[in-house]
Amino acid sequence: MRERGGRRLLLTGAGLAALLLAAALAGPALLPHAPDTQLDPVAARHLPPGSTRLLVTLADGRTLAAERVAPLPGGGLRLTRLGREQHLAASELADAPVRPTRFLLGTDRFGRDLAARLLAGARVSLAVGLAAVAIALTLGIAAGSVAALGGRWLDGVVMRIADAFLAFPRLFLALAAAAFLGPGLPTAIAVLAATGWMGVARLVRAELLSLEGREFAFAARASGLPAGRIFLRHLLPNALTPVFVDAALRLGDTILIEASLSFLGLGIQPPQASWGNLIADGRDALASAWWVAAFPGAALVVAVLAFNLLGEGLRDALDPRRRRPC
Amino acid sequence: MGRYLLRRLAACLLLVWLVLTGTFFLLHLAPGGPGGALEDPRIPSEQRLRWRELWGLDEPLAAQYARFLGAALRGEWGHSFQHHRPVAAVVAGALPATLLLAGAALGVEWTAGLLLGVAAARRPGSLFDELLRFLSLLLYSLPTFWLGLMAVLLFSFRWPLFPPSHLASVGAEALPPLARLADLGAHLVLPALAIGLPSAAALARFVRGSLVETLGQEFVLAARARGLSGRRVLWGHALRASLAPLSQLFGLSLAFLLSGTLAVEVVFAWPGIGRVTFDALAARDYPVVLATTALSATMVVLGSLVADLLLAWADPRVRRA
Repeated sequence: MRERGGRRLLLTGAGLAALLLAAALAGPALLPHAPDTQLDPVAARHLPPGSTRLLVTLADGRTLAAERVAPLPGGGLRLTRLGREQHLAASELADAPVRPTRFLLGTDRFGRDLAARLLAGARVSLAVGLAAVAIALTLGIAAGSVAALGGRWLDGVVMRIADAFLAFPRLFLALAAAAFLGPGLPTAIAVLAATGWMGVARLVRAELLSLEGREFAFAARASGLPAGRIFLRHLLPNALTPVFVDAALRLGDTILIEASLSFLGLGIQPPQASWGNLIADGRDALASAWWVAAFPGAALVVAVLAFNLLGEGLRDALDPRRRRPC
Repeated sequence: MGRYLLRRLAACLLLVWLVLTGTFFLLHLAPGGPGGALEDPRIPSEQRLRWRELWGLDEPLAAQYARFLGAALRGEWGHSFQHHRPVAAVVAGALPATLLLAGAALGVEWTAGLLLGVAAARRPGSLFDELLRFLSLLLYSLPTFWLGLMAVLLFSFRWPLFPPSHLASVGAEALPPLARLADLGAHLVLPALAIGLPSAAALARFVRGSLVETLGQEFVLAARARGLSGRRVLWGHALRASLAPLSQLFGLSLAFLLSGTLAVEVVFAWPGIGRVTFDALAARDYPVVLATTALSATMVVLGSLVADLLLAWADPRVRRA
């Protein structure tokens, strides 16, 4: 029973995560306009989800969002925009100017397509999360190995530093660092990596210490293998399984913290989109345009949930103690 | 026990010192000085120099650090650059609001977490258990600030049941005491739920795991064999035996009390420590940032100490070891 439940979690999580990654990778190809194009700051402002407008492209590249368009003799157009009629001569228009567009998720206050921004945000949020977790894993594995194998003194120093980092609430430390180092994408990655390695280091250290006492490690030492080789070929690979399972859960947490940072204005900076700063945009317009905050948040929840399901499922699948029916 | 306590306290002090030192150098070595009035070109440079002198920013870093530590030991946290008030007053003014919110959130977390966890543990493997597992994973994945915004959207704007922000209504001071209390309660509901529910989900999972393990043990079977009712076995025997790890968890939720409210305080314009810290960070108000950092680090360190002590209290095996 539990095993099947675990597999269901794993499959749901993996499926959702794959879907998100695919959407993020394909992002720009999926939608007709770029995430930071202001389609029509006046007439396309805060359009509710599912609205349809006729986008009229002008000769200078700008677009106007019209409710209705009718041809005029001589190649010009008569458009109804915000309920008012407006005439455009053929010379003011681009080639093949009219394009009906449906805004599936609505638009924001600058008349930008929220769906496009959401996908752009997915790229940023996932990329920041993956990069930060990768760096945190590297740091944590290095620190944990040094602590486990470097002797008592080094162990003490490394673990006390880890404790000090842990004594900071993570969001707090990330906020302070981002505020003082200047916010932005590189800072966000660095700060999340710098506040994410301690758990990994503890895990790696504990695994290595327990593996060191096992018979195969003793056998390897007895057969005269050099210490470095024992570490790299025998101890480390065995220590890494729980670390990678843990990494999926960490990825969810990291994406969540990045979103909090960006929401508070100290993470990814606009106009670059991230789910967190999209929600912050939506906060200011909550009463009049609920979709601007709602959809990016929902995307964030789906992403975090996907990685949590993945991590849970992996842990169920790989940890034999949890597989026993209870 | 006494020696253990002393050693733990010493370790706590060491940690708080490390955190403060880290923050101090992070603040002072970061590019760009304190912003605001100190760098404002519209203010005459003599005035800005005087402020620098007044706040000791012109001394060498080592001297500033020594002075900061000495003052901190005496409980003096200096003057806020931004509020032009003693830091202690700024922090003391914001602390009650945060404690109130965090306390309410803690209540939500433990009530909902215990109930859901026990409910799931009664029939492990059932459809209800599976559903709860998924639901708690979902709740756990919710960012508190977004949950808060959506709660405002639904329960303040769509159906105006609760106020969307602040600690009290305008003019609440003039109300009779009971009405004031009700007003405060209404303001607490949404932010406390936004903070409490995601943590309740995590707690429920933990309670479930711990209870399921206990329910499989022999003394539970023995209690059942003696003819005790299912409810009595569950609440009286099994839950009590699971109390040890749970009490440790309670200490840990104390630890993150102060920091957990930050984003939600910003969403709800709640006048607490989180907002003060956030504003101080934006304004590079060093003394305030250092004081709130010290406070939250102390909470974390003390919270984990309390967690260990509670564990020792609840589990005699740990005490003897």
